[in-house]
Amino acid sequence: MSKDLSRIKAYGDTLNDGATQVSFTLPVPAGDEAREAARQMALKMGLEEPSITFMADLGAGFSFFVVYGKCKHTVDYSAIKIPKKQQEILSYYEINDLIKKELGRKVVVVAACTGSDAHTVGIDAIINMKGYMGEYGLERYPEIEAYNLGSQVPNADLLAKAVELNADAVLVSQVVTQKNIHLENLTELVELAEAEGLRDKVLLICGGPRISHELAIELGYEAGFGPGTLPNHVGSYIVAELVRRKKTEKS
Amino acid sequence: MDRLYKTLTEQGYKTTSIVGMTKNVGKTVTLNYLVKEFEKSGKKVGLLSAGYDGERVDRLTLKDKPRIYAPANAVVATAEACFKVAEARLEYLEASSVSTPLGEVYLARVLEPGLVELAGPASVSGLRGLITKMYSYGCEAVLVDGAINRIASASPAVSESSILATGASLGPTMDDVIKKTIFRCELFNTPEVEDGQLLDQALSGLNDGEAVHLSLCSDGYKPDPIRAPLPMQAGSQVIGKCDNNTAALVFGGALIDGLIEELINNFDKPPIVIVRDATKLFISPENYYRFINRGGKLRVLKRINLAAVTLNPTDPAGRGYDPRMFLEKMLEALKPTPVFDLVYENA
Repeated sequence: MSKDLSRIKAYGDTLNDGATQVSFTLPVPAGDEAREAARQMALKMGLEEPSITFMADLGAGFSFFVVYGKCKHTVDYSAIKIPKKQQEILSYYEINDLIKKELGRKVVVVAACTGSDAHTVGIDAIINMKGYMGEYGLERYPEIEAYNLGSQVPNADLLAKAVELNADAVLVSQVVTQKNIHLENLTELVELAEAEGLRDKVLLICGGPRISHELAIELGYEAGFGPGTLPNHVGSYIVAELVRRKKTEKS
Repeated sequence: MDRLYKTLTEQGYKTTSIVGMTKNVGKTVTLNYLVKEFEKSGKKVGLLSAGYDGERVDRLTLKDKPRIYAPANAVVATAEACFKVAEARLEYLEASSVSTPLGEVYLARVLEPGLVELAGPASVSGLRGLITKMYSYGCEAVLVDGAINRIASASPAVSESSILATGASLGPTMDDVIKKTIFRCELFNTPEVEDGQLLDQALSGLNDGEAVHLSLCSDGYKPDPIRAPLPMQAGSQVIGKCDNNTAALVFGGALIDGLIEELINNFDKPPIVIVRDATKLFISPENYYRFINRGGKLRVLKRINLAAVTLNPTDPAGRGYDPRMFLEKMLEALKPTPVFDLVYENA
């Protein structure tokens, strides 16, 4: 069977069989009625011949399901055009060398979880010395001075610290939920930086599980990093942009 | 002629920003509507975004969103990656110094009309540079699309007039949506300093400091400028200088809740507070109304021309209000600002 890219389906054993596995929780106690509810839910999702392969009572009137089925929907892959730009990823050593060679001074990075957010896992993975997944955090970089201000830092305090330390980049970590509060906290930092005349003096970078480069531009940040980001990804971006700006200033 | 279009053109506004109270309030619908009007009138228009919009689906809710229509002969500014996938046929004009994660921002002329995604600069200075270039390419008007709830592009430093988009997704109830919109409009409509002498002294003081204490003296006002690394910090110091002769305080940067609370707590009758423009106001409605009720006067050096408010009576979660009732209530609440529901009124 040849692939028709204008109508692709999920793949399991044979092309276009639509085989799909989903898991979800329903706010009802486990039982025959719950199993039927899960089956109907799967049908509404477009899963044909759903089979409930796992059901567990979660207590307090909730139950969890794993469901297999054949998803009937197709997607036109050939019509998808996504604007993207590949960023060059440098290693720990390359980043330090580039800073020495092109900038000739230490790069200052200030990081925080802002507003009401106390989820520091992401920012710690990027900043803390021990790093994440075998990559050193920015604190370990000899050419980078990194400051981790911790969680629930007000936007005004973060900007004051950035000015005090003469920061090149401000990193903000934020869990963005459906409720727009975190988004509005992220945009407030950008608007405050603009009002305080700092917008062109510092790189504003955001990160978090729901954040992408595209959302970052929408929010008014220079860059945004999502799940799977390693410290050197962020370091590569900061250094490349600082070098680019230095060259544009000269020309 | 169309009423919204007429509102803009009759007052001679050239650069107009469209800003939103939050996501999904119809900024792009308003922009596309105006673009069509400019196309009909044969006027050459420039289009750019203060962020990124025009994507097929909303990045958080994954619902379809309207894209931006670029008519023939328009000039658009967008990032390299968006330039490459545009449905409109574009002719490259030049690259700007503005860079985004989607590449450098290019200026391009529309050869054949079609849909585009606009990705623009993160800063006011970036926007200003691009707008200037658009006029040098012969644009007769420029429309700046806003992003999310960001309002920096409404600053008089960027645009001569602004349209505020609001809608059901702003709050849980219609009353809440109306209340929040009234507050934003009130901030946008903050009047300019009336006293010419006070204005001159405020402006001259800001040349020498990030905040200015203005005191009354025999021949008018005496400015005492304060320098600080961050204007907010100068603002805090300037409050400490207040005495019986204080006439006004000028904040060169942001007016945040902390500063206005200090004023409310320390003065029975607070001095006149002056900011550069209304995009510098970062104060809660509670503090704003406390300050005003205390007899406080808030003034700007340059005012935002709020040309109109546009409404989206539905939110992407599917909740919505009766369009006619929503429109009538908003018209009443925001008088005399013109209010439009472009979809309902043109259905």
